[in-house]
Amino acid sequence: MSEPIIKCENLRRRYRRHALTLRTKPVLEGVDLEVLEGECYTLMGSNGAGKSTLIKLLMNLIKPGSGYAAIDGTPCSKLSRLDLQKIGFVSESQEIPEAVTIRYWLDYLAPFYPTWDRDFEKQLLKDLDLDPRQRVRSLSRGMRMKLALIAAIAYRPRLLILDEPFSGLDALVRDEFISGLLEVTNAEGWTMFMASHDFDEVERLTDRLGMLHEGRMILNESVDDLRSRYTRVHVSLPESFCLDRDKLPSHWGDLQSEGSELYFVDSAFENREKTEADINRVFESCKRLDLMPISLRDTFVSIAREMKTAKTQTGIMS
Amino acid sequence: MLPFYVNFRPGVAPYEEIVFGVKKALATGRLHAGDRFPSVRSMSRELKLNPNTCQRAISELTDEGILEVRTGVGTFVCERPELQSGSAARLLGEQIDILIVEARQLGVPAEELKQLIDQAWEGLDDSQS
Repeated sequence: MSEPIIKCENLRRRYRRHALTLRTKPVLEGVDLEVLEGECYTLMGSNGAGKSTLIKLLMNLIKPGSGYAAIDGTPCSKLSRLDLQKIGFVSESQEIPEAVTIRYWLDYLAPFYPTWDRDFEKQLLKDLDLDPRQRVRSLSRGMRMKLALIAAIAYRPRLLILDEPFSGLDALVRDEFISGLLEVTNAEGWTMFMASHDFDEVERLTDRLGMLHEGRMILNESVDDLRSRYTRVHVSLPESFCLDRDKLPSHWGDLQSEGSELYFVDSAFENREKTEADINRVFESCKRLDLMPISLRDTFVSIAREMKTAKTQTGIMS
Repeated sequence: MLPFYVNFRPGVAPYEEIVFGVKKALATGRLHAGDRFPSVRSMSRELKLNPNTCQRAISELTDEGILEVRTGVGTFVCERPELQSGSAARLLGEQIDILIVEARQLGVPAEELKQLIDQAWEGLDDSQS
């Protein structure tokens, strides 16, 4: 593969705790990230994990504290208008003038982009079911997001950056929105980087996934690898047992037990034999072993819960 | 409209679901040898799926000898090769083992299992939506 189109190295950024203080609080604590050309990369993480901060840094809306961020080899703080013409950006709270019509807004934007494709714009308006005569004021949230998408892809950018594109959209609008996105990917084979919480959409679109937790990347791998690595396990043991976490493999997460039943999520799953051998090593025998695929959503919850447990434990120790 | 039906389930890779959907369409006669197979672009559009995933499904089906990519022309469904004697056991053995283990675990007798298989065999053609 070629040079990554997005590259971050040890990216750090702090925010002031509130407006009247100089004390700051870290938001990003050394983020490394590479997004390759032609892939769809999704950034996940709980609220406040730093996703939007990272995107703002990439779009040069704020400056990094330290570290390096670049798009297509150009440091983000030096992105010129020419560079920005190759990037499409849709954020959750897109600001569009209220008084103008859709037609007026698109006519206003088009001259800024030499590659703006009028025919493509027309087709998108039709596909996304927007009437160009409508005023922005009268548009619903879903319609505004669709307009923002058209304004971000009508010039066929090489890279599309989306911040929570699906939040608050109904199922039909989501479908239309995704169709719009795919129109561009299919034609140009461009690259997409998005922050999202919507597991269904993420699962359909994403090649690689990163997870931010308290300003650090705790996960960065292909969705297929993640899917095959995580499996939900249900074991029936011959008799009741006492759960001693220290004796259990560290890749068993989200442990729950009831009587002689044990449930956990295996995060280093390879095959049934290996999991069975792990269980036999700890418990000597097992009566019944059930393996179930786990959805991306549950994987995410399991990881988040593990991080929380780890934090409580270190909290007790310190 | 795609000539096969894909049902996405959580925890299963979307490309595997496509591969299964295509095999099912072949088994029920919705897809035939020689048929033109949809392009990555139209699959991605219809299924609302990352084109890389659709490409992966096509590669998988090509590797299994189910599809054939003719450069510059398109992708087509291959003639099914003659099944050699003994290869059914090799190809299906593992799935049959899983089925039998589950049935025994649940206490389903062999006769009933065979009946269920017969019913499902007949029902497959009707289940296509």
